[in-house]
Amino acid sequence: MKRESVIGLEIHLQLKTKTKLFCSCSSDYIGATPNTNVCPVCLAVPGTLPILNDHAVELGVKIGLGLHCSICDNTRFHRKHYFYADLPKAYQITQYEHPIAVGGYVDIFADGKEKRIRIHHLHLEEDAGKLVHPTADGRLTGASYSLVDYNRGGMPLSEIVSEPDMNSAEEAIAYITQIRQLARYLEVSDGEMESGSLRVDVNVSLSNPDGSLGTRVEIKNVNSLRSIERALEYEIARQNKVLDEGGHLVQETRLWDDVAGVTRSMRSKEGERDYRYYVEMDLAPISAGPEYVRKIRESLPEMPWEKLERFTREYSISREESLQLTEQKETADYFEACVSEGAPAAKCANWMRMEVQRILRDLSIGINDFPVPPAELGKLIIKVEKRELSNTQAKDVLAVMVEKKVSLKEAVRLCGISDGRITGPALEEVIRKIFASEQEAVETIKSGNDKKGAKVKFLQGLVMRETRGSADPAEVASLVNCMLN
Amino acid sequence: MIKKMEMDEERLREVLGFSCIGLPEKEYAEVLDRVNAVLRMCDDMQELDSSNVSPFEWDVMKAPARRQDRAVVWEGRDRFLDQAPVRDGDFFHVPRIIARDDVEMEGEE
Amino acid sequence: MEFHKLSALEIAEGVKKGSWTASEVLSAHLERIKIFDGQINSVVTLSEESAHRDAKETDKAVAEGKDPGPLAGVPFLVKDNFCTDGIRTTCCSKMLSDWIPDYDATAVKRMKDAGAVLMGKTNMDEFAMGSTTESSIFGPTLNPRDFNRVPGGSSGGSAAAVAAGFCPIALGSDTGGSVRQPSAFCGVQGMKPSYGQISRYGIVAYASSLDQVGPITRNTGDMAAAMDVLAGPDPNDTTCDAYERPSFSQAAAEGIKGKKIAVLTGYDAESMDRPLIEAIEKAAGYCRSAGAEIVEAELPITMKHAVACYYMVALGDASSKLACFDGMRYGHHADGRSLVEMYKRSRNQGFGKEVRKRILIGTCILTRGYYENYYVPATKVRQMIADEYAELFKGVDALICPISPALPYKKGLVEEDPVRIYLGDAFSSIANLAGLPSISLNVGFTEEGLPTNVQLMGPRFGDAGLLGLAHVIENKAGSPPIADIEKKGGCRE
Repeated sequence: MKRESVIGLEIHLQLKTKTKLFCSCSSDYIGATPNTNVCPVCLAVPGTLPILNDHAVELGVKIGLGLHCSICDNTRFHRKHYFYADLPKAYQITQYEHPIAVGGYVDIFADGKEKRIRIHHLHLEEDAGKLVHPTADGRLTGASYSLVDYNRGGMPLSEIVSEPDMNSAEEAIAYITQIRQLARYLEVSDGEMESGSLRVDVNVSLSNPDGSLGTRVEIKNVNSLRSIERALEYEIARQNKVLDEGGHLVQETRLWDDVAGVTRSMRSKEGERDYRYYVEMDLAPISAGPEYVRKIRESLPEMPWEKLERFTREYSISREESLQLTEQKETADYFEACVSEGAPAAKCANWMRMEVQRILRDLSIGINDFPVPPAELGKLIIKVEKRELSNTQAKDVLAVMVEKKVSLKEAVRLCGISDGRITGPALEEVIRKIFASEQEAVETIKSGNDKKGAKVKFLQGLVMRETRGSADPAEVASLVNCMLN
Repeated sequence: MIKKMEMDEERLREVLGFSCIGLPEKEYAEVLDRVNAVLRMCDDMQELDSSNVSPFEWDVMKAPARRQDRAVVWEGRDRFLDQAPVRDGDFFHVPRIIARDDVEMEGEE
Repeated sequence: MEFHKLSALEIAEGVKKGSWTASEVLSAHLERIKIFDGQINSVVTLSEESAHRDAKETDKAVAEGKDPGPLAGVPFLVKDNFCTDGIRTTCCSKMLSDWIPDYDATAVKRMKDAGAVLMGKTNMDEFAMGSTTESSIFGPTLNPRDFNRVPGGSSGGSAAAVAAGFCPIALGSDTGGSVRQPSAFCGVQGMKPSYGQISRYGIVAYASSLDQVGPITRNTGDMAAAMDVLAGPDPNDTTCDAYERPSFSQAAAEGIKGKKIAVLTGYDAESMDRPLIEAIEKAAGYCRSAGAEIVEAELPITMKHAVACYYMVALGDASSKLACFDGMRYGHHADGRSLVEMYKRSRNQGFGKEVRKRILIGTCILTRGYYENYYVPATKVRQMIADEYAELFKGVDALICPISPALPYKKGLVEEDPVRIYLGDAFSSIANLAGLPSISLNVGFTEEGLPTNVQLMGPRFGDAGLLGLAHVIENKAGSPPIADIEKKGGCRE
């Protein structure tokens, strides 16, 4: 019996603000000495009050708009209560009943087709601190004590909750990738799973034969796209097996064990937890009226899917090429800057996808760290177009530009190519040299024995090789003929 | 109209856990009495028609502006850590964290 | 010169004119506290060194011809739940018995910036939970008008200190009457301004949506002057309103001719102490003779549901705001074999009985089922109460009603008759629920020397007008004298 898997995701994006959500502590906490990015507010010192970061609201609204959500005015924060060492107030300030953005969608491309995934809502909340467990594997189990670092405590998060609209691991990955791309385009979040600025909780169930939803299981501790994929595959198989064997599933939270490749029940009575949510009256309602939203909407950059569509249309390149070029906004910007130098778009696209990508891969750097300015690459491509450089030469030149971090002009010089084409007297000089070393061929031609013109072509080819493609083949042909007569 | 709810010992035990407070069993009755007294006072509220009323919200004359996103370094960090009861170097130190703690506490004085 | 008999405004004027120095004034008040506070236990921490330093600074400013501020050299005390930079702030609880904040509450800072000199901290019910100032770890405060009675609470130390002539202005916090009820009991003037009038930054919270800072003084002129200093927006408290405040002192000087003032009816006056009913009649009479029209008003929803509503909101929030005391970062710590055991032992040892019980009650109220069926309806009823007042104040300028149904309680009543004490919040907590300005005004004393008083309430952010009304009544009734604490035993015993 085939049951359909039903997947919903909760994505936590750490917002790219300079300060925390409710205090002026720097958000630049990665690598900082423990408990240095802290202040009385995020340490819950008596008498202090949370003060909402305007920029965090703006970023939340931005991503909400990007997800086609409606933005709600005068929404509230709630307190979510539980005692834990990483939560100084013993409550987390989060949006509960009234999230700032509701009811959107995002289109993904997976399993060879486009699909719309609905967004239930997006809300703002503060992050918790970090615990360090002095065990060999850094895990809580077996630790006789733990150390607490509040540097991350109070960092702004936006939680994006999808509807359970995904039916395969591939769709889930495509959805996460799309959200991550959007967040980066809008400069709302770094969206890095490795550093924790993008975190995913997975909800998965199997639909019953009658189409109704089955028992939902939440999977936590999935820290990479690969582990999400594996965890989903494992969990879907596990649930199928339990049901196939006539067993029952329990609604629970399971932890993904990346080493063992299994999900394990947390065995906590999650359902019995009572967070006692209620309105946070230390904060006023978040005003986000139509005028405010309109201004942010107008400031939004081109969305990735819009860019994709435009690239395909405007530059007459394939969808596949556009996809690659628009995957990162920076790549797309680089490409367009290249094109604006006057280089043909198709050629630029090709250079970006082949040469530039190869170099980035070899150096393990991103497009932002690529040392060649787009205008220079554009000029290089134009030189090839004008046949001032051969393809091979251009690749050599680019390599020098990257390696020595020099300008196009300098790189050309360093490659031993004179500026521009070899022509006129310089070309005549080359031809004389070739004639001198190939006297036998010259004599054959002059004596009228080169009936098929093979020797002339041979000499022309030598000239071309000597000039490494920097000479115009037509000029070479006419000069060779002229000098033979 | 909802039925009158009465707080009982079982729920109070849960609440002791939620609030990390211990209470000698002989004092359960007093706390329950007080909770239930408040609840009974509230029962009367049901006679009011509040179906069109939103939960309380402030009347504001002029809402303050939200905080600008500018980082400020707190100078009091070291002094704060010096005063903290469970400092351990740059960290705070807490004892063993166990998923479910059924430590039963009698009311300590 | 008997400095302790001067009003705050008189002290400031003399300091500015050079008639006396802030240091002289300070020394006289410190001396009085040291001699007489042993009788009533109103002050829990004196910070003489910093006070002398601040006073000298004021004197220096005067000598250099600089503006020393409107409250130049006025010595003041604050309740021990106001954070004070470098001065122990305990909330009169074992939980914070050795905690020293590194910042001043905004209210304290504004007073200091106005030239006032902070002398120390006053006694209170532990974490402001009580109305008798008997649950403090420093022992109870006695009522300076009668040592056998309580000073009220929770800001009992502040009210008693002002009544005893230890300072002309003290600050308290008022969650359900904690400034006004002790002011009434001690025979001084106490105000709870509109919610959002004064910053709450630096006040150890009881309930976020009810707490408000309030001044306690012996006359309304000083009260208005304190309001001019205290009220104002604060980037550290976004529930504090950003509107531009009027001059409270100027408004206090305006009359009430042609104003319409309502007297509350429709409550069980029979169960109240008789002199307090008479006090209301007296106050209404003063208003009438000052040219105001007196009408009657009923507030049926409020009078029936306010107390229940108040308890839901206050205790629910207290359970949440007191959760940060976990023995880790500050405050009392007890070791435990596990994290939860550490939490429980720290909290159990650090909090007193009443605080623990209120936390439990508050937590109960917010749990599943009770939250939906009781807490949420209470917040709707709270809105209905606010609406009932808004409607009333469309037609009248102010309301006169009781602040407490009883004269100061005898000591130990908490143990004997706790219910009577809870019901004592019935009148005072309304202003907190609806965020309205409210003044507890002394209108004289009984034959036994116990203070009688009325509560004046005004529309939201109508604080200035309310001070005007208080000023008119005070002019007729006279401002209360300093308690006769030199005579050991106070009045008649």
